[in-house]
Amino acid sequence: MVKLVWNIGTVACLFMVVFLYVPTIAQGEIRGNLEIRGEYFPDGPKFPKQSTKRWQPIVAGEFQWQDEFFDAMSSKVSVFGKYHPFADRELTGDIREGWIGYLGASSELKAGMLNERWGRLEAESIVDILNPRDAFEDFQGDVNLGVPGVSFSYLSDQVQYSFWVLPYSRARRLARGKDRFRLTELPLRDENFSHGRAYPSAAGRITTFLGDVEVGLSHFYGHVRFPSFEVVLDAVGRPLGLRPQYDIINQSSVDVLWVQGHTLWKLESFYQVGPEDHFFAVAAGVEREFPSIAGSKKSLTLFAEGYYDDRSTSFSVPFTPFQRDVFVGARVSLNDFASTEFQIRFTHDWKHESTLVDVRAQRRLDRVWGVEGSVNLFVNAQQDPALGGFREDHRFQIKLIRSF
Amino acid sequence: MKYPVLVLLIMGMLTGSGYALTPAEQKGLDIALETERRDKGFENYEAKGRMILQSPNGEIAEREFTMYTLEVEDDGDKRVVRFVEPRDLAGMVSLTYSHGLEPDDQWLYLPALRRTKRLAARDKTGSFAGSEFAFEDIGTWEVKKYRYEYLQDDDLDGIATFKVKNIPAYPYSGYSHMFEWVDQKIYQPRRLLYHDVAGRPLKELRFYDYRQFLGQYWRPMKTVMTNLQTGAQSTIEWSEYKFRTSVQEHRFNSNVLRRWSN
Repeated sequence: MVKLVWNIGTVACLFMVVFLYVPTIAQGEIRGNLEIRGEYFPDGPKFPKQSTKRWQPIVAGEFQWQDEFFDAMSSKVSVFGKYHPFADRELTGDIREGWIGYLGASSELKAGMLNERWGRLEAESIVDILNPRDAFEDFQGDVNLGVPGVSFSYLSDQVQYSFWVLPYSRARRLARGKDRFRLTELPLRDENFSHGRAYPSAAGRITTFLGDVEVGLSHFYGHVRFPSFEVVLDAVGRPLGLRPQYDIINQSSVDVLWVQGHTLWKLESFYQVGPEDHFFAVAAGVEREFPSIAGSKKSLTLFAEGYYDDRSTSFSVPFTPFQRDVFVGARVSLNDFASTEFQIRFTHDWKHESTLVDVRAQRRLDRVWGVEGSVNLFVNAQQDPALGGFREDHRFQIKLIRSF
Repeated sequence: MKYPVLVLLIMGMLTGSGYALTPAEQKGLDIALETERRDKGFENYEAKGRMILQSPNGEIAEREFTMYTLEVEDDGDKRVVRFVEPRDLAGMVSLTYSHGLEPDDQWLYLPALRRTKRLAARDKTGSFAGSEFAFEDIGTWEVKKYRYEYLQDDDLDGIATFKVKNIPAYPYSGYSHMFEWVDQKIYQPRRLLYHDVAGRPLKELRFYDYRQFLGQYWRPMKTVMTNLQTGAQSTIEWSEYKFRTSVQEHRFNSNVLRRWSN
């Protein structure tokens, strides 16, 4: 029997059921996907309370509805839900977007659950801070949680000015209890927001396009999106758990993209000031595409990125997995009827000498069905605080996806 | 007055590189300029495309998309392509700023990642959605992109055409040259024969069932690209052409590309 916990995930799942059974609730367009996943963990878990099931089935889906009305008015809802019988919470989900807005010729105003992405890099956009991540759904941080707020954008020629006010902070979703991909053995306690969840965050961003160069300048004020951790001790000083701590920070950032011939050069950098530390981070990368390999329709894209972050490694400073890292990757697209694609990606931490190996493949089976597979291997991860907890979590995953 | 200025600029560009136009080249250029003149002033148009891909061994796949084109006065046109089918591509949007001799700018909005990506490839030989059309073939045509040489008047399936040799003047083209058959009545292409960089015949593009819109603008209802080396074929059936729609210029901007996906 599924235990229902009333949170945003449960609400998202209920929304999904409504979309499934009443597809004509609105005039707008509905699209999304439903997927069945199989995850295989060849090794048993590292921590005692984690699920020992080697094969773990998952059913997940994302449903999206959007509509336009009264000329420039628009609304959008995107909900995600997942049933995972061997997870700590069997039923999870999120309202990834859910806003109503005015989308005018040169201005845009939205209110509701927002989802914004900043940055240019492939492995990790270090300047992307507006939305907390769903690190349980994707431990590599490619999935954002929706965040409630109001945004306003003004577009002038090739410059866009955007502002956000976010009245409520959400925590990063982390694996806990029975879940694989847990950071540490210590159980996670309820998170603490230094100024309370209802303390507002605010952000501003300017983006411009100058031919071959694109630049973004951003500033964020509010609760940090990647927490620091406080060790909770019992009366005699033994650790009982870890409490994610979200402090108020100021972060200023810049991201630049430069197109040179067949090559994209990328740079991201930020300076963050928090109560315990102030630090600087920079990441740079290059992406090179080779279309039409040997005169065929196949194409090859190569990536290389380097990350440096001079923050303290203290538990009281927000954690980052990208402190001294190098990422290299390659993607081969066959450009066939099935849009077959293969990727191999290596993320190497040069301080702890650990490596994450990530192999991905995908192809379309027909108009609505597709299949994806991936392998994640953690090599020499014992000493790495970011990957050490995952070192027994080598994973083979296959997804059968039905898009609609 | 803008039209003669453009002619002078192109002439100057060609002669400035030490290249004097022969009578055949002048006539080829004149045909291209007349084609451009007759198609000027559409402001914007959109059309739905249903693309049927057929492999040499008979496999069939389909794509559906809507294409929006914005006329730009002093530069190449801007084009948005929004995919509808197959469903895993639904909501994917590409934006291209076509330029004359400068490389085009191109972005892609990926709805699953909620992210707009700038594309690196200046080489436009890459396949468009797995079809026999290259990005180079899908981009908007600009006079400055080619050098022209009129070859002869030709009868093509009973239609009087000019046969013209087009040589790409921009870098990164996948073609050494192409032969184009231009309808003498409507000044639109009826057939294009592409040759690869080694000079071998590579692909043939045929245009069928032209219809006139707003009493001026001719558009084909079907285009068929055949790969002459592999036998693969991609057919686009066009429908629902709409000219001078209410679509606004600001939407052809990478900063608001995600709006097209909504």
